[in-house]
Amino acid sequence: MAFTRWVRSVSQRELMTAAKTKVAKRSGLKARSPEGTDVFWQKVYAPVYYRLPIALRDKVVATMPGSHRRTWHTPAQVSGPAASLLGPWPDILTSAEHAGATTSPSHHTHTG
Amino acid sequence: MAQRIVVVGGGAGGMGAAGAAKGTDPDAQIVVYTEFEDAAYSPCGIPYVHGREIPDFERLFMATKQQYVDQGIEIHYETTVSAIDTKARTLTVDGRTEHYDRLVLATGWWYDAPQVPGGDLTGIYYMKNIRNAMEWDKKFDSVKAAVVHEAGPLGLEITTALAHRGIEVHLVDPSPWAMSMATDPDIAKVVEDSWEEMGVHLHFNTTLQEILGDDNGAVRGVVTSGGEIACDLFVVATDKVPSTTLGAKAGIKVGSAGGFIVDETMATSEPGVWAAGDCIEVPHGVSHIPWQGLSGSHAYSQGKVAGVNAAGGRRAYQPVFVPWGLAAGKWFVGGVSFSETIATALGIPYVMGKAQGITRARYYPDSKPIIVKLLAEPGTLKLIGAQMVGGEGIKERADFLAMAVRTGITLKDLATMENVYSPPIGALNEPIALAAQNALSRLGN
Repeated sequence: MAFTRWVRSVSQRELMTAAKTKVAKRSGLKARSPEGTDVFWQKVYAPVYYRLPIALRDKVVATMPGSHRRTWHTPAQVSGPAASLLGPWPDILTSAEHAGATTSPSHHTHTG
Repeated sequence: MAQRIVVVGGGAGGMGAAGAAKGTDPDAQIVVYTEFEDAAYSPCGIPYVHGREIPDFERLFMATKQQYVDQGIEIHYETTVSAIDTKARTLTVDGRTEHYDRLVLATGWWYDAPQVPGGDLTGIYYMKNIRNAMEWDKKFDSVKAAVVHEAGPLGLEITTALAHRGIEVHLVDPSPWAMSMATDPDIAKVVEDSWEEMGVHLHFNTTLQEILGDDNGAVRGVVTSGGEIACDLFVVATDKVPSTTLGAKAGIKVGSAGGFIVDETMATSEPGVWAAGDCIEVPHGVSHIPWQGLSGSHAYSQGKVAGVNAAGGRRAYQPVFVPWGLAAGKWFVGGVSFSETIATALGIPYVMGKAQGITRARYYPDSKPIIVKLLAEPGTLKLIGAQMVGGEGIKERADFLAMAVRTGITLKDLATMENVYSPPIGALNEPIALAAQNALSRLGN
């Protein structure tokens, strides 16, 4: 877990830094030049990340451990005049004691 | 026998959970442990007391301690939970063992403390606890200059508050503009210009290197990549980090965003344990990526969901679209989901429209400008984000636009939306519609 947390943390920081640099340039603002290890992340990691197909990037994100791999319903999944506010309750959650069980990403999940 | 539902944490998430659990199962014994002297106050109001918009801290309390006793919620103040045994369903509370049937963790967050020399000096303020804020507030009248470290939401609020107090404020942030994690520079510039009118010194693209102390161990300045700044107050306003140590030690799984992994019922990876608030991560409704560090309203809603389910009821939380808003400088700024910057960071393509309108009829007193910027998915033109800055009406528009993103409303829908026209509360042209029309015209529609 520590590794995936580190990957997420570094990716988020470096991709945001790359984006801020791009947006700043478009807006006529200056941005800091990368220093130290940031040179690698900005010159190598970020450009490689953006060259990956979106579907592949999504797949990598979806496989990271996190709440997105548990059961989540979206409003679009709720339909029909007789539907309750939450729609039909998934069988797996009929007992609160079972609520800790991790569900398959393909079943009632919202991983995209 | 009545079930014993224990809540760890007395903030918005914890108290939301306690109240909802009691409402769901009135016979249950509801116990809250908090390490602080108080529960159920609004920490979000603290900067506005510092800024003197709110006259006193007492107004920030939502209920008295006796009211919780009367409701049957047993709160143990200044009490530390040091361990959880999820198999035995016990907690170690101030050294003794306590049983629980159902547990809700609402352990909150703490600042991402700056990793520079000088972090142990006096004169470093972490704005969070109300008793601590009361003590700091008394000192502010003698503060001459303050450095606020990082221009996130809390940084914007405290910068504005300290400027209102007449303190010389220096805002230091490594990014090129303020609130860069949620806004674009064209939106932030309006706020930044107003800060400069208020005398705030802005130090963007500037990293903190050291906090300097005097012979008495008190802050006397900071060293930054842009030089030294003299100050007698240093305010930490960095990102929120989920406080998960207690739960993680008990084996409760933490996700890649740093918060406890939960499902839509706020159930954690351990049976019988739910979690809510800033210690969890929840999926974003557009990107599906887990996010953490949301607002008090998110924490409270999550707490209610956790409390209902812990007590045996059924309620679900939704993926988030994150409407936000705050006062900064002389303006209100807000938004929903993605800015151009976030979309660019994620590599998400978008189309954009922007317009300036007014908040009331042009002839009505105190009519104020408002800028609305919309982002949408190319092709479908479904809204994926918005930002606004203006004199009023930000909150309602952010709430509306969050529902628009959530329900898949398109730029075409917004361009033809109906709007209220009444001189004191709304102009003839709705700025959201103008921004959507601008986006469509950029696309040649």
